[in-house]
Amino acid sequence: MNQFFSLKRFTLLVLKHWADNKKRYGLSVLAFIGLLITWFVFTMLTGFDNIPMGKAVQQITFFLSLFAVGTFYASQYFRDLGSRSKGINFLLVPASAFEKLLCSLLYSVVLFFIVFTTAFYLIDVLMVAIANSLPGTEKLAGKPNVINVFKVIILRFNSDSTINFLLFFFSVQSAFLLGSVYFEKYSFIKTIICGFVAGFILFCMMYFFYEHLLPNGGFHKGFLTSFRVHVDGVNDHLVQVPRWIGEVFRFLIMYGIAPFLWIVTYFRLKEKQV
Amino acid sequence: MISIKNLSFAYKKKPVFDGLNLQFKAGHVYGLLGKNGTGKSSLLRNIAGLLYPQNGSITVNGFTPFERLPVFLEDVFMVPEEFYLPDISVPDFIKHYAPFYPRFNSEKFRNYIAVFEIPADSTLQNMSYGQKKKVLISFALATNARILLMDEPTNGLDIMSKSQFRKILAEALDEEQCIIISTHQVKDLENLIDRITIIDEGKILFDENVETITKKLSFRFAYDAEDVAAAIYSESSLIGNVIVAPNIDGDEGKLDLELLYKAIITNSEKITKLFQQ
Repeated sequence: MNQFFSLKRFTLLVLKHWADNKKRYGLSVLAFIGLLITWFVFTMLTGFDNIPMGKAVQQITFFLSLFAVGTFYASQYFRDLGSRSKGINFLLVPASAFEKLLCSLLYSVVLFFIVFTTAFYLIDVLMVAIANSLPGTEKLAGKPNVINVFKVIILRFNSDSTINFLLFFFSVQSAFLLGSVYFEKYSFIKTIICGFVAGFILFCMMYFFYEHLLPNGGFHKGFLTSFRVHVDGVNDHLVQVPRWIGEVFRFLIMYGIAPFLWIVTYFRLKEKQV
Repeated sequence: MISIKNLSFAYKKKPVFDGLNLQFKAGHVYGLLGKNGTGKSSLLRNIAGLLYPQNGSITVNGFTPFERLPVFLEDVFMVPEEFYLPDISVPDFIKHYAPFYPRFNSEKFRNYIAVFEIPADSTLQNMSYGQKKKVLISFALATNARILLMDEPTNGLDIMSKSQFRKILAEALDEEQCIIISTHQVKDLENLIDRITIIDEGKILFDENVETITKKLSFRFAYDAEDVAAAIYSESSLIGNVIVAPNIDGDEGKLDLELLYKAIITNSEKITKLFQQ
């Protein structure tokens, strides 16, 4: 049998993970539903938006809770490795590191997103229906409607912002998954701190690059791919990297970060010691 | 079956082994003894592929343990001192864990837990530590893995369970299996172990078959002061002195693991000389 990937072993691993965690997952979904209902009721009672269950409330609730719950869940996935007894149990299960990683991605990325979105809509549809049945709603300027989370405009200047935002979420979530293998304790907090430190270092590097290495001017129609060198306003010239480099760069930023972090997680998992 | 060559291992700055050489063969039950912190558990975890040696090599059934290939893991089962079992019922545990081990024998498992008097449909989380350990030991033996590593297996077991454990282990062992037991509870396993390995300060202090030990050493009471003076090790008891002395008659007596261990730790030079003759 293939020692890197076997569908039979992978299926066994997925079923084993479900058997080990079904109670915890079931209770977590119920707790999330309870919190969501409480929050929506709170927004309706306090008039958080102009209309009960308005678009803004639904949008903010979906994306904020997606980030909060998704990153927390990812940071907990490999928490067993922080405990000697659980770590031994996890590492000695006869399956490859690749199968174990793939199982973690199936649960923390794919199934999490499906279950989260389903649970959100289940409550959202219900709460919008309740909001519409409230006395006086028909007199309001806008009628509460269920939002399409894949089509809402988050950044007004970018029509693809929702898709980019979701891709950004998967990258952030992958960083938390890596953090759960890397840090034996407090992985959620430590990953947040590392994220801020990495972000700050990146910002400083960009600032240094922009202020001290590049000539006088500024980025023009495309961040990092097109630079306008200021001379006198008339003889300014434009420095552009070839279009394909810009496209590759954009592609890597959008789709490359999460898989890169998964690869790092794989090697970290393979080298894990207990 | 297990070959350890020139193994060096350290936790950050604390060295555990330095140039350790050992062989473990099929068909034997090895007793791994040593003081606290001498590296018995670390050796087991190196063999299981949970730790990576800094130097030297370990080969287990022809595999390098730390690669943790599924085919290697199917044939190695470890019962750690601190273990974890999920919050599920025993039948669910078997349903979801047993398929990973191709030679798992469900009938054997049912027999073992029956001997241990564990209700077959109980939930693991509602069990006591000792009951959980008995489930894990039963599972370990039922996997038919060729390498069984047990770290303090009798810790937490009551008196009856300890004798049940000895009975089950004696029945379960076959010629293809190699069982390594790390323990301080030497009395619990005295009649099971057929080779004793004692580790001290990262080195092998003693490594002999029980048969050779009983041929060369005698463990007995001594009432004569001369006998006591000539002994390798002696300790007083209410009914006289218990001694470990060279076996002059050549008759094989009964092994007292606790006395042997004390004799080796306090007088390893004499013992080594005797076994080199």
